[in-house]
Parts: sequence; structure tokens; C-alpha cells
Amino acid sequence: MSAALCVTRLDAEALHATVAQRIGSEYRHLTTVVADDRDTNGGFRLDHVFYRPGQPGLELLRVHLSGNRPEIPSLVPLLPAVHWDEREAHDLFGVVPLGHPDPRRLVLPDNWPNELYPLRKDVPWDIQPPKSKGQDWSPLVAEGEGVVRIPVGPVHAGIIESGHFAFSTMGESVLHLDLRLFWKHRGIEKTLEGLHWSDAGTTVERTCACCSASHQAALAEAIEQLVEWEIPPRGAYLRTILLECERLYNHINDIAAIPAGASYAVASMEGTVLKERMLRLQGELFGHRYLFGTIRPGGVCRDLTTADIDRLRQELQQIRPLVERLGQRLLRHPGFMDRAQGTGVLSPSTARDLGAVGPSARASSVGWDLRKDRPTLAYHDLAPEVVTESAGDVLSRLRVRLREAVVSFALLDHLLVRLPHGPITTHAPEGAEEAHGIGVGCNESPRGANVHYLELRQGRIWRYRIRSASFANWPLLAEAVPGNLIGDFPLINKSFELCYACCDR
Amino acid sequence: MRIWGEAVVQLGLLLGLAPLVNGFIQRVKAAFQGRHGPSVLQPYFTLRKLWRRQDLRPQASTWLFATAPRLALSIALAAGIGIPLLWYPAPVGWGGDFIIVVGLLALERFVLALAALDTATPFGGLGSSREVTVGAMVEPALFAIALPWMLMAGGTSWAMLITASASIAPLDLVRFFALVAAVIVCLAETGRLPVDNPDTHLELTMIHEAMLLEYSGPQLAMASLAQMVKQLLLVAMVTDLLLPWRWGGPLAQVGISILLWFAAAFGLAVAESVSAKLRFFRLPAYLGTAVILSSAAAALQLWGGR
Repeated sequence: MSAALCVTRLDAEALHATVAQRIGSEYRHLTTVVADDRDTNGGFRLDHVFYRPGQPGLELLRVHLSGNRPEIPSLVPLLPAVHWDEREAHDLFGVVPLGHPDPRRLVLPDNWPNELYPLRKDVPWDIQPPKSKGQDWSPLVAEGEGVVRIPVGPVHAGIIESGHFAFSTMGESVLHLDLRLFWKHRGIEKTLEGLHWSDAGTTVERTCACCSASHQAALAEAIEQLVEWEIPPRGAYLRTILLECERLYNHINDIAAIPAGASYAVASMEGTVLKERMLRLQGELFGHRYLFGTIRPGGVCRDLTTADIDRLRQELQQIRPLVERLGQRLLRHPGFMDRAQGTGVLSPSTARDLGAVGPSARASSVGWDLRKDRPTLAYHDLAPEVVTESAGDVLSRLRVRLREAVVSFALLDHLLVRLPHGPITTHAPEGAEEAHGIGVGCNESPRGANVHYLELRQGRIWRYRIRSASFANWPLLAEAVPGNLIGDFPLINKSFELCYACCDR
Repeated sequence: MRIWGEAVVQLGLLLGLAPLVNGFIQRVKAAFQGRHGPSVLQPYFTLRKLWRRQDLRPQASTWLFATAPRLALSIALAAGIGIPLLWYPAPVGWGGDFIIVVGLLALERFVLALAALDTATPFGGLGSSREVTVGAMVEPALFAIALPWMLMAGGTSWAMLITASASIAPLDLVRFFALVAAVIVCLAETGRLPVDNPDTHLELTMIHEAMLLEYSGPQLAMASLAQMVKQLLLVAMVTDLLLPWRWGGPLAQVGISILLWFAAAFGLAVAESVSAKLRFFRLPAYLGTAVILSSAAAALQLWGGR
């Protein structure tokens, strides 16, 4: 076990008091992971992962749950942010959260048999269970005279991913929104089990194309932490450059998507062109438009030559004023501003309680950013400014992205100028092939904190969990939409810019 | 005989040119967005494609749903022979009246709104409720555009309105007010930004498209064609009413009319490109502007010291 992780073993009774104490002393919850340990100690392991701003280490609050059908009092009343984690653990491991306010299925489809928990070790990865009665998912709806239910999706009129939105509306106003996602769950965590850690990259980077570098970096960090593998300075800088490039093109994409939600196509197209320019640049310099296959444990896959660095700096210098101009165009458009201002407000307390991450949290004055709170890589040397806005509406989320894009442009320029010389990767330390233990990697993706939990046994993956930023942020949407006009939903949705693939992992 | 001949030519032109005008608007909008955009002939291809496709109907729907598209198209075409599209006066004497045309357009909206309710789907209800709300504001505004000329002419027939319009100076303030009001009304009545977005795939924001969401195949083709015909009609009405000058022989006059239509369509595309969609509850203020401008034009006409 590496020093970066501090494991505190608790029994179920002590858990609530300890979590309350941790929350009270400014610890923040990252994720909750369940693993099947029945072969070694006859039960399941529940790890609540916390970090504390300013400290590099992570703390795991570990509870051992014995038996085949474990139950544990739900943490939701104390820590609402774990509500999806607990529902997922129930679906996939059969760990029952007692007293959970919303015990419906989250991940499994309706016709999946009861009592068949796919992530348990006794269930093969390629199981094809007979269709059964399972459970009927029914949306939470508002009821009453004049209330109309509008079900939307999972099949949409446009080329959008699969999500079901159950609106309860009164006239044009939304009273309540319930979401259902996980229509295309890929079982990535299950398929990773049994792979050697060195073979995991290709799968992990495909969790989601638009934060692929972040997922790769999280996997790499987990492995490096587990086997105590130092990466060379140049490798760390290059990895930071990849992460910032990813943030930049995503922010440009999201800035372009928001006016599309308000039918302002000219601005939207302008942003899309800039995003495409970033993608082509990435394809040219890093070998892949979406940065697949760029990061590996111990460093990065590909070095930048001096010519590459000049090219990247030049292009970024050209794109930067164009992004700023697009921002000005939006902020000065009265029609667009009228749509964006005061729409889809997420209150700071809701954001904090539900564990919001990324720009969505920072737009509601929750200034959490792993780049500053738990700096790794080159963020030690170049801590970026944490941008916050206070209104929590569509406009704030747009403004946060615009300002963060500017910060990233400056940061990238610094990184490229200061890029140290030397190797880009190092060899794995002795014994890494047969490594054993747990590593947790996390970093600030464009959408917020991505957390990867890796457990190895003899170098092979025993348990892998991906807590993506979108997984943390999806529930916020259901909080921000009620009270708004139903026609404003696409605009609010785009301002959160949530990823479906990051849930369907 | 001559009247029937003219009516047939007018109908043919209306049906033939309506998709082209739509394609032209799409092309201009694409240019503003920095795209090449599809060919101006794309609406014809789309209609042909839809015409060959299967026709599906919601289980709950009745004859109302099935007949609405052809009814809507017929009503739009009936309105089309009631206005002097190419020649003054209009081919059909009974229809040569502004109020009847406005009424027919309202009837078309009513038919489609009923059909959308008939589908018993949430989007149909959403669409027709919105369409009727917009209609309640657009119709008075459309009517108000002609108000100054009605007051001047003392009647509502097209011939009188056009003569009245032609009798005042081209750059008169009355004409200017009415023109701005007409742009606002045309954008709303043709389901364009900032009122409705004809290009959106976001069901929740749709107005006109939400009503047509359940249609497919030939039915959808007819409903879309009806909307294109209505769009061309509005453009023609506005150019007839506000820019009534035609010179030369019959062919030259027709040419001028068509040029003016495309100029107006270009104007609509520009107006759409600079707009974001309005919040639904801002629409009364937006459409109210058109009514106020038209009323101001009428007041100027009445008491403007002429």
C-alpha cells in the first residue's frame, strides 16, 4: 500500500460518525467504491474516498460488509452526494443501502433479473441472462389538476445520446424532472477485470472520447501511485499540456453548444469551427484528434519537438482572440443574454450537497478544482487561478468556461515555454509487473473531477471503478430545471454539458 | 376563361416556387453560419423523398389527423388564388379581399392545431397550444399591417389597398412603420426565429414542428409544402401591400414580383441569422411591437396632416 492512500478501517456503526467528522473538517467526498472480497474474507468491501484540499494524500474510509446480501445504513441523509454511488452499488453488487430515499434501480435495465448482480465475481462478464420481470422503473412525477407528463427520449429527434427525461409540467413551466440514463452501459469496469494493468489503457481511454486524456491520466496516476513510480519532469509537463488542451477544446465546444440551445446558430457555428481547429491541431501534434493513446504509466507516449512547440504556441495564439471574440459576441447579444440570464439556477447549497464538480460547481460559487486543491503533475509549479461565478445560471456556467479557457491559454503558453528537457517516460520500478494493492487517480477533467479506483492482484486488475465528472453532475440537472420553462431545458442541459458515455461505462 | 387560366398559372407558380424560396432562405442562413449549406433545390428533393415514404399514423388518431395536411395545403392554395400574386386584381373576385386571406391563414392554423391534438401525444398538445397562443397574437398584428391602407382606401379589397399604398411616397414614414411590423409578423407567421426555430431537432422548443412531429411520408410532405406555400404567400402579400410598384409589360411585372419575393426572403434569412430564440413568454412583447408600429402607422395616416 502506498503512502498516498490512508486507509481507515471502520465498522458500519462508526461510519456515520466518522464521515460527519471528516465533512466537518473540510474533507470532500470523491467517490464510493464497492468490491467483492468474498474469496479472501467472506464479504464485500466498501471504500468511501475522501480528499482534503491542500493535501496530496487521499483517505479511504473502509467498511467490511460480511455475508452474501450485505446491508448498510445509507449515508445519503448525511452526505447526499453518495446517492448515485449507493444506488449503483445496490444494482451491481447487491449492497443494500438501508433508508436510501430513492431505492429504484439506477443502472440495470427493467428486464434484468432480480438478485443477479453483474459486478460480483461469480457472475461471468459475458452473461446473457434470460429476460425476466425484473423491476418496473417508474419516474417520479408531480400529480394534480392540470399537470401534464411529458416523457422525452431515450430516442430523440436529433443525433443525441440516449437519455430519458420525464417532465411534469404545468403549462409551459416544469414542475419536476426525473432522469433515466445508463441505456448503453458498456460494462467497462467488468471487462477490465483480469487484464494486466499494462493492457488497460486502450479500454480506459475509450470511456469517453471528450475527456479521454483525463481518463488516461487518472489510470496512469493510479498505477504510478500503486507501484511508486516516478515520472520524469518532461513527462509530467507534457501530460499537463495534454490535459489543458483537452480542457480547452472541450470548453470551446461547450461555449459553442450553449448558443445552439438558444437557437443562435451563427455563434454556435463560429465556436464549432474553432473546436475543429483544435482537434486538427491535436491530431497533427499528438497523433490523435481526441488524444487517444497519448498517456501511459510512467510518462507520455509521444514527445513534442521544438518545431511542434512553436506550431502549438502559434496556433493557440491565433485561436485565443477568436475565442474571446466569440465570448464577447455572446455576452453582447441581447436576445441570447435574455435567455441565459437567470435560467437554470443551481443554488450553491444544492451544488455543495450533491457533490457538484467542475464548471457547473464553480458557476454556483463552489470553488472546487483538483488542479489547485490537490495539485499533481505540473500543477505544482503552475497553479491555475480558480474561476468562480456566483449566480449559478446558464450565463454563469458560460462565463466560467470563457474565463477558464483564457486561463488555459495562458497556462499552456507557460507550460510550453517552461517545458523541461529530458526523457518523457521512465521504466517501471522493480516488481511492478506483479504489483498488488490499491491506487486512486484523480484529476480535473473539463467537466470536473474524474476519479479512477484501481485494485491489482499480482499485476492483474481485480476491481476498477470510474467515477466520472458527469456521473457526479447528472443529478444536478434535475435540480436546476424545475421552475423553468420547458423550452429552456435544452439550453440548461447544454450549459451543464453532461456526458452520457461517462455514465454508461 | 381568362380568370381560370390566371388562377391555374398562379397556383402553379405558388406550388413551384414555394420550395425554392425555402431553399434560398436555408442557403442564405448557411452562408451566414459559414457553411456551404445544401443546394437551393434541397426542399424539392426532400419533398420527393417524403412522397415515396411510408405513411405512419399514431394509433389514437382519427380521420382528422389523416386529412389535416391536405386540408391545410388546400386552404393555403385557396388563399393563394385570393391575392393578386402576379396580376392585379386577384384571379378570383370573391377572394380579392385582405380579410378573407387572413381568415384562411387562421383556418389553416386551426386545422393543423386540431390534428396535432388528435395525435394524443404530449408534443402534439404542446405544439398546438403554443401555435394557437402565437396565432392569437400574430393574427391581429397581420391585420394591423394593412390598417393604414384600409383607412386610406375606405375598403379591404386588394385592389383598393394596393392603389392606396401606391399613392403615397415610397419613403413615407407610414410605409416604413408598416414594413418593420411586417418583418416581425412574417418571422412569427412562418415559424422562424426569434419566435420558432424551423431547423431545430429539440422537440421541447418546437412550435410549428411539434405539431407535425407525428407526420411521416406523403402526409408530412403535404404539411411541409403547406407551410412553404404559406411562407411565400406572406412574402407576396407584404411585397404587394408595401412595395406595390410594377413597371413594364406583364412579363416584366411578374419578374419584378419574383425578384421582390426573393429580396424579402433574403431579408427574413438575415433577420433570422442575427436572432436568438425568444423566451416563450416574451413573445407578447415582441408581437406587440408589430401591433404598435402598425397602429402608429394608422394614426399617422389618420392625423398625420395629410
